[in-house]
Amino acid sequence: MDIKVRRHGESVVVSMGERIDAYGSAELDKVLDDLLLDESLACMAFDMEGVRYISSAGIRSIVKTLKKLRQRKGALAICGLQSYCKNVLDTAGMTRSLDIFGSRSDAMNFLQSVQWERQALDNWDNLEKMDSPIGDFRFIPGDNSQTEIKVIGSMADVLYSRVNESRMFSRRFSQTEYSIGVGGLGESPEDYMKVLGGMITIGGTMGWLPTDGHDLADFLVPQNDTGSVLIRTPFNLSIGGGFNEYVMFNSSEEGGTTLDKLYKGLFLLSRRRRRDFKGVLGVAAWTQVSELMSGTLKRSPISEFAPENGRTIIDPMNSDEWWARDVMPRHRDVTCLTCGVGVDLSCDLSVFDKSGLYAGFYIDPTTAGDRGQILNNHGAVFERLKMPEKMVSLDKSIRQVAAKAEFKDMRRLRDTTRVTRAFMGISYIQKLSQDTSGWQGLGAEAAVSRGLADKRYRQEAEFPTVPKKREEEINKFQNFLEAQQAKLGLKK
Amino acid sequence: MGNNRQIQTSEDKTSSFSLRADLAELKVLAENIEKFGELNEIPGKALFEVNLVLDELFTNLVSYGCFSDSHNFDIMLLIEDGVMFIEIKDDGKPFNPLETPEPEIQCDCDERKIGGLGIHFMRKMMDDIEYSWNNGKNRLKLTKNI
Repeated sequence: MDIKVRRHGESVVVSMGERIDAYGSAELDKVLDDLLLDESLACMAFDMEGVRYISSAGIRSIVKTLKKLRQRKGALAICGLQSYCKNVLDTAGMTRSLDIFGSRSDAMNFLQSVQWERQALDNWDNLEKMDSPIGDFRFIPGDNSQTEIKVIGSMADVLYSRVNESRMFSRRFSQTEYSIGVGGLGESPEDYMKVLGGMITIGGTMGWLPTDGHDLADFLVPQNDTGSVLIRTPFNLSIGGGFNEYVMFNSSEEGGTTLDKLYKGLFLLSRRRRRDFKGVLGVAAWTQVSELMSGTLKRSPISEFAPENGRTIIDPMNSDEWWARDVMPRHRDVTCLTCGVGVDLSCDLSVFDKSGLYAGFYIDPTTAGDRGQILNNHGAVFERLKMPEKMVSLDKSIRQVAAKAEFKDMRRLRDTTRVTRAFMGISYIQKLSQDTSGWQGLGAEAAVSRGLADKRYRQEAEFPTVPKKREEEINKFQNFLEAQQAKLGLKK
Repeated sequence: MGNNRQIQTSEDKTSSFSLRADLAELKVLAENIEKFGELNEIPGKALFEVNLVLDELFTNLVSYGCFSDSHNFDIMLLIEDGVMFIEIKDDGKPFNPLETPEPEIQCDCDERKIGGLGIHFMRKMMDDIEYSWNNGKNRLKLTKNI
């Protein structure tokens, strides 16, 4: 059999010939055994473009190599797999646990990230570390990219319960998306409009809590589905552009640290350490939660259900009817995949687009208060899974949790939720955009060329009370921000 | 089934050959099956699967089933009305593949034992399997709808 070995940096690519049966695999094993004598070799790619036939003997060679490389904390990438051979691996139940790529360059990119991870893990003790009264933080460098929060729809539509079909956005599920919001799944509006609820998409999965009265969350891993799943939402915040940094947090507080304090710590460290911090953080994380307190939306915020008194659904007059706010922990000692955003009100937020801020955030009088920050976190809740001491890759860890751990629930997290450990991907948000590209539906069509807020504003002009309300909201928000600034300014 | 069958079809519809108990013979197996497939216009996928299943059985015999170096593995292929019949006879140790347990294929690669995968392929890829032991020989009859 024709076997070629090539080095690519620290990885080795093995291209193999036509038939990997018992005879061919014996030849292949000889080459592989020789290569693996070099103990430093941990990443390998099998280029199987030329392979027309593989039997269980060939699969044995693959698994043997994979085991060895994984022991060395490395990986085996497979590329160029032909369809019959892929069928054999499928029948053997192997495709799920192998890292298979279409092209050699995808495989090499994957191996490069594994190499990076190995180095970061080796270098763990030298990473930047900060001790604080709430626990210790360790920082792992991430992407140097510009990150943003994409705001779809408007928080105000949810708060005034005025969502209708024309304000819904739909989009195909994307594997790499980190987002939170209100939404649902279903073919037609009848399926989802009346049961819209809290939603999270994280690491190739989606969780939502339908407001159908059952209080039971749905969890979906679309890669196992047909891939045609459409997410419906009137309001969604997604973190775009990757993570600028990863942070491992270990709480030193008895019983864990509240989200409120954790974010306060993150804001403080960000102000000190990061010049690119402008007051808004996007955070996705594997979180070990000791006490989970949730604020659960009980009704779909559609115009049909709008409160008769015309006030928001968080107004003290309506709040109890619309929200179930836990006072006792709903879950204890669970693993959560969380996604959230935090706004540090002591920062000069005028660098952000006003309508984006307005559309994306609100001040919940019962939680914001004088804390100087606005948080919005959702979590998919799983049976507790042991969290590694050292972690450097968030995407991979999140996929592992979604695949291995037992799903229990999906909740919007109150700021009083307590955390013992968290591995967080942090995006230092540079802008808030109302970019609806990639979204379909009436909501998206309404905002073809201009900002969504603008267009809405003009549409709403036909209904005199709506712009007035909107004006009030903006003013209220503005006043709050200014008051907060002044207060914090004085304290300095 | 095969006992009372009269083979009246043309020569192309059948193929018989023998393999020595040596892994180098896998090439002969592949060539014979390919030739048979070409003559009878059998689709690539089905042919691949027949080759795979025979390969696994043959490799099993060579690896575990031999008393000595002089065993033979006799294969007869027959195609009739879109159904392929395969008969395998060998004089190795008695071995009924239908009695082997299904391998666990749902676990992670890291933990998996690979043994039994060949038999798993046979169960998945063939439509009917019959085993008998007589005259000191293993006899396996496989049916595959093309």
